[in-house]
Amino acid sequence: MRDTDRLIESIVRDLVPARRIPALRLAVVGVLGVGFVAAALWIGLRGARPDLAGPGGNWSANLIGLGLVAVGGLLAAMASSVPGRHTATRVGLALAAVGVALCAGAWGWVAAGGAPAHPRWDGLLSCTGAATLLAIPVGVVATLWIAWTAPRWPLASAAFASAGSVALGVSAIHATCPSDDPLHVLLWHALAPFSGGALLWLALVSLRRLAVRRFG
Amino acid sequence: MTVKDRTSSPAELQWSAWMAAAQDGDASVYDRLLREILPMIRALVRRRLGASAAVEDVVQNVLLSVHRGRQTYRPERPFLPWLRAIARNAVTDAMRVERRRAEREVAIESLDAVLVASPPEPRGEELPAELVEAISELPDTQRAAVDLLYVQRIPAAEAALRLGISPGALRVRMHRALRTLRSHLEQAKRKP
Repeated sequence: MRDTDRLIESIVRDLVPARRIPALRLAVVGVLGVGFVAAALWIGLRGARPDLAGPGGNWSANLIGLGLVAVGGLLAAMASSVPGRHTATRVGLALAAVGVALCAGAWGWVAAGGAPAHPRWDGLLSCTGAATLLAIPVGVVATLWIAWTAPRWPLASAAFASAGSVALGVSAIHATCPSDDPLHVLLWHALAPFSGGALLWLALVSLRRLAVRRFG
Repeated sequence: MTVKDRTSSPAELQWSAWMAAAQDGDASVYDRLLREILPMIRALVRRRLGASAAVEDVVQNVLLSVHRGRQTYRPERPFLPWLRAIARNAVTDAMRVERRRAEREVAIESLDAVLVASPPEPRGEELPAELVEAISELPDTQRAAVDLLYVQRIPAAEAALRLGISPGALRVRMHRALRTLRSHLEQAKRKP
């Protein structure tokens, strides 16, 4: 007990003002805003699909699914870093799970009609690669949040942030990519949050460590 | 009237205001807050750990986590769920560390026991020469951990605070330092 008293004295003696984190809602909107700006720039640069209004149910289901993974993943990443925000974390994870189910359902629907057997590898760079690059600004901002806050499981929070950021990036790719090949959409669009997300995760984890070391 | 105002007790509202003041750097209010929440933290930890000897260590870790994560509290939100989440995490961490220690760290534990069981040596120069030499060869970060915990005998939570790292990071640092020390001492013993 005397040690605890001594600890309190040390803590209080070294107290410096702490910059309070913004409200979670605002922070999530801000991070998503960065992603939407990056996505809008990409779509403006590459040009949207001419049939953007409705190329088909499968295409739309994938877009909605990826959007849900993006919003849900980023919400889960940011909420899981703030003590006591379990409900928001669960909502984020549930949204992301619905998104994954939608993408899987869209694939199953197309595959039932006979999907092509040979994937074209060029989509790895032009879609998954580009989505991962597009995800970098969002991923970096989300990681700075994770470094600033007090995540219970930093690696898991970084994983949610990576998957969410890449899902946001690949949503923009999905709106510009002319391919309707179901296997292309599955491999290089729907699975990008996992494949590109894994790559981005490695970078974000290092960035978080660096930020924690630098800013405490 | 906000949701927080409707659901929080007067004490909780008071703590919330104090935490906001502490975030702005008011040390006297912060001291009062930490001392007022201490019995609650202790009860919460005891409920999970029982009458374990580790209770006070975990309580200190909770205080340290509250301090390190104080920027994450938002005054418009209830204070207790935030505090309870931090306490729960610290207790879970403590239980995990204890389980891992029991499973894997038998060898290190035995050295730990030797170091702790040796006569209390408050000053570095009074330690056995070979141990002082082995400590001096440690990397700076590990040496600082050994110095605070074993030479100056400062409680783990306070040592973590002084080094600016989490208690978990201090444990890892100490684990590595003890492993290095053990191999140094074993090598020294083998020398003629």
